[in-house]
Amino acid sequence: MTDMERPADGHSSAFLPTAKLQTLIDHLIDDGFQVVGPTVDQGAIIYDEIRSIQDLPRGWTDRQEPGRYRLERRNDDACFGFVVGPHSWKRFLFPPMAAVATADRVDAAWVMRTPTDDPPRYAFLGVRACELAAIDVQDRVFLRGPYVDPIYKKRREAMFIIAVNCTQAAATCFCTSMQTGPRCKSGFDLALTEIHDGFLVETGSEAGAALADRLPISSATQDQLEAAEAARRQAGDQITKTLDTTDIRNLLLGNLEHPRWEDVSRRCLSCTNCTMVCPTCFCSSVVEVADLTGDHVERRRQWDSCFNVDFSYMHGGIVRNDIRSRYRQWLTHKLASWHDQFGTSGCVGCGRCITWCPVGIDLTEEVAAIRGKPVVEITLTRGNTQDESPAARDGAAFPPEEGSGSCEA
Amino acid sequence: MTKHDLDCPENADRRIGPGLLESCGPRTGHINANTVFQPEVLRCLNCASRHTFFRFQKLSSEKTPEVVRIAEMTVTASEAILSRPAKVTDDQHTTEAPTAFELLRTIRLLDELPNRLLAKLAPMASVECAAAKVVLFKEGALCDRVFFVIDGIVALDMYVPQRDPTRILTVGGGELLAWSAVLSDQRMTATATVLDDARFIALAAQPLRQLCDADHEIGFAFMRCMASALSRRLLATRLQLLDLFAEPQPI
Amino acid sequence: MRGVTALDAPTGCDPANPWLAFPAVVDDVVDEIPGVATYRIRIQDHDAARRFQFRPGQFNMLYLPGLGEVAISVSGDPASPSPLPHTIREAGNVTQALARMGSGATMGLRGPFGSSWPVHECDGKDIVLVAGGIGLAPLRPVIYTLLANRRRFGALTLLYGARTPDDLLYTREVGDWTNQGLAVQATVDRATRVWNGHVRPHPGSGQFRFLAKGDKGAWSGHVGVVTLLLERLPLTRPEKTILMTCGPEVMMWYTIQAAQRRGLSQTNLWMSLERNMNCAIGLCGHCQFGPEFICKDGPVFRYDRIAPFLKVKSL
Repeated sequence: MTDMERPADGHSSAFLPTAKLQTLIDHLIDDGFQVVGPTVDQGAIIYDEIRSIQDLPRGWTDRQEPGRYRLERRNDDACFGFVVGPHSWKRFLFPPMAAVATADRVDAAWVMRTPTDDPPRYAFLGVRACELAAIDVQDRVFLRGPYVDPIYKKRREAMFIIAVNCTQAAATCFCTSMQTGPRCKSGFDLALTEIHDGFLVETGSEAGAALADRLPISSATQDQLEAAEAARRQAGDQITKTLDTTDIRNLLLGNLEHPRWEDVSRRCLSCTNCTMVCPTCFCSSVVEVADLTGDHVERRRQWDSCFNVDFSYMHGGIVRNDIRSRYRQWLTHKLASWHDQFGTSGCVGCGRCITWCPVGIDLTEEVAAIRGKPVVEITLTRGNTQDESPAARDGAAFPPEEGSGSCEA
Repeated sequence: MTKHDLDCPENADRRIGPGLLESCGPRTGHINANTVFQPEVLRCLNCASRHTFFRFQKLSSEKTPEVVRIAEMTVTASEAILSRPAKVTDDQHTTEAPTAFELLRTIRLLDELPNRLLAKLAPMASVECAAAKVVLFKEGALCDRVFFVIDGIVALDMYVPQRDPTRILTVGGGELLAWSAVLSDQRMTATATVLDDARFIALAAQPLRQLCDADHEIGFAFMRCMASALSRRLLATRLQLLDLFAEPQPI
Repeated sequence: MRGVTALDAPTGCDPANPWLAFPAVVDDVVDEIPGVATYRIRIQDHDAARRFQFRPGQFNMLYLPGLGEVAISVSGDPASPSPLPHTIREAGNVTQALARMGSGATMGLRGPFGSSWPVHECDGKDIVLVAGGIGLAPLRPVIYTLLANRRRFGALTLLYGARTPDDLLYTREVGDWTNQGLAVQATVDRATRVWNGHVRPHPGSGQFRFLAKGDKGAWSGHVGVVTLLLERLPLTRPEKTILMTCGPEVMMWYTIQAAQRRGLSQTNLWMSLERNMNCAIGLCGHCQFGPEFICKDGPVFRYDRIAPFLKVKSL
């Protein structure tokens, strides 16, 4: 079990040669873990079961831009020389499909059961700082509310985390703005920083320290420490994207009728990609799956998305019946309401939603547009505004005043 | 109690004699400064239901009530009575009954009028009572008074050919009736039927309009109250129009 | 700021395993108005049934395996929670199937969920309940609770609006409620001739102003939206009056505006909201309304908490 409270042991770092990474993997497998790590598949770096360091995307890197993701060859053999891909660790902790209950008809009555849940004990190899933050965010959702999800809990408690400090950043990364990275500070068992011939190893928990003791590590030399420091700093230096989070909760919830929502809705396809790749999105639906007799029913929870049209369906109609209101729901939830609900932002700055949006919508730009031109300003400059949306031209509807009386004729 | 016999409204072949009437107490003093008639609610002991009769008494200078007539209250009856005002001096004015001013002050939609402006309306105000089933005014007919309901319930019905009369609204205490008398061409847009014994303050439309034209301060303030009442009525009508219960409703 | 949460509720589904439903059975079905019936549902395990407690305003997820779950407010008396009455309108797959199955139907029940009406704040106060249509069902537990301890409260009033006289719920009980000290006024949007449907008003429902004259029933009561009843209601102590309202969102909004104009305090106005409910435990995301999860922060909300979001279109 990862101890989220213990900070990284930054001083006495150990060094593990690249080839000995296999030992780490072997120990984990011997200890009964299923090791999950990055690997190349269908032109992307995804997370899947691995057994060997040869399964890792050695020598590969990713080039990411809004709406674009390509793998490219590196000129070295680095094991973790890339950022994040379309998968996140939520697909293991919060599986896309899971049976939450069963019902069997026995003598005209229904017997409800909790299905046996026997997941593997996962060891995640290669968890980035933003992803550690995302796991913490989902812990708040699934473990620290009034109701606990037993499926998440079981997987989470058995988990072992080997984090990896990023040594580069993608054009879509903005973890620094969300204060989630690029440095892994806590929430892991072990953390690795890759340099040219191996890894600096930090322990973050007793379980991590115990495993480190079994590894052929040596004390890091000064050169190695400095190389690791330089590599980590490079990640921070390469970040170009920013998101101004000043008072963002009030900014977004106070601008629910901003013309920018109309503007983004003309670009957004409501395709749900962003919610699928986002490491914190947790929307789901429980559906009934019955066998042919109808006597055995499984209640299956599967990933859903607030972008799906019928997500907000209520007898008689759909509450969010246009893309504008669905995009607004997603973004205000992610960046604003999440604070009210869970005491933190829902965004960890990983940039996946920007990369994997087919039309390249960048939420940092959407927020900047709302921040740069709050509603009051639009009123004063109506007709002169650069914003071409009809709402701005005709006068946008403004957030309602509190306690306002009956509507005017 | 009375020198007149009355027909019982429930049973036309029954005559109600004096022993068969029971006083339910005076409803209000009739407080037009010029008239002294005091309506009183009486109950017919013959019937299971209550009927309201009004005993109009002229207060003579000796202060002994002399019954003038008893009639079931109708608009015509009250007009007949009101059209024969008699002078009264202050010491004949009954102190038990609330004054026009006091009753006007209870009307919520006139709350915004300060006392000194409200006092200007008092002279043209009269208090009326009407029993259940009395028709105050008919759709399409002329009415020269605007009514504020003090208490009771009045139903507004509109007639569409080939349909039963449609009840569009019921109006209760503090609310406005016959606004067309003062705002429009005096033609009523609905038929008003009393459901529960009701009391009103009626303002005569002609003097009221003249007052508003002559004194813009009271005119503006009064019209603002009317506009506010009508805007609330409009909202209520819109909510009815929305037919909020028609679709499947959330629990 | 909000009613009591499910966390404080004594019992019901297990917070550590909230997906599991209790097997339950429909004891009986009472037709209320066209399309609406009250199902009294009993949890089959005696211990679980005995432990089950709910607060006024809370709801259960009723589960028909193979069809799905539906969120229904408990409309019974919290003091006698077994069986549990649920007043249900036939609307979608699950409720239509339930209506076809009727008494004896076996099902699953998860609950109770959600926040509750603030009955614990009502001592010594005047209470006004404003209900619209089937919105009277989630308020009925409040009525039972207040009437059971009538002397602790000031004036109790129910203002109830429905589409037509045929659509007034619980006409059987209104006489009892009035006798026990609840002043009841009813109004309808349209006064269509009564007894067009299969429901007949009961003698005790005189307070609802049905006129029982032969077969040609008529409605002699109020016509118009229920907010008008609130505007006319004499309030002796508006600052000590608590208002709870449930019904269509538009109706609740204008009720609240009228209440504020009458001098009620924003912190004494409560309403019950609804959104798509899937898990009822705050984990699926469907029921969000702004930052609120209707299933666990609501469905009962104090007005000032959600006021900024109520008039935002398509939120």
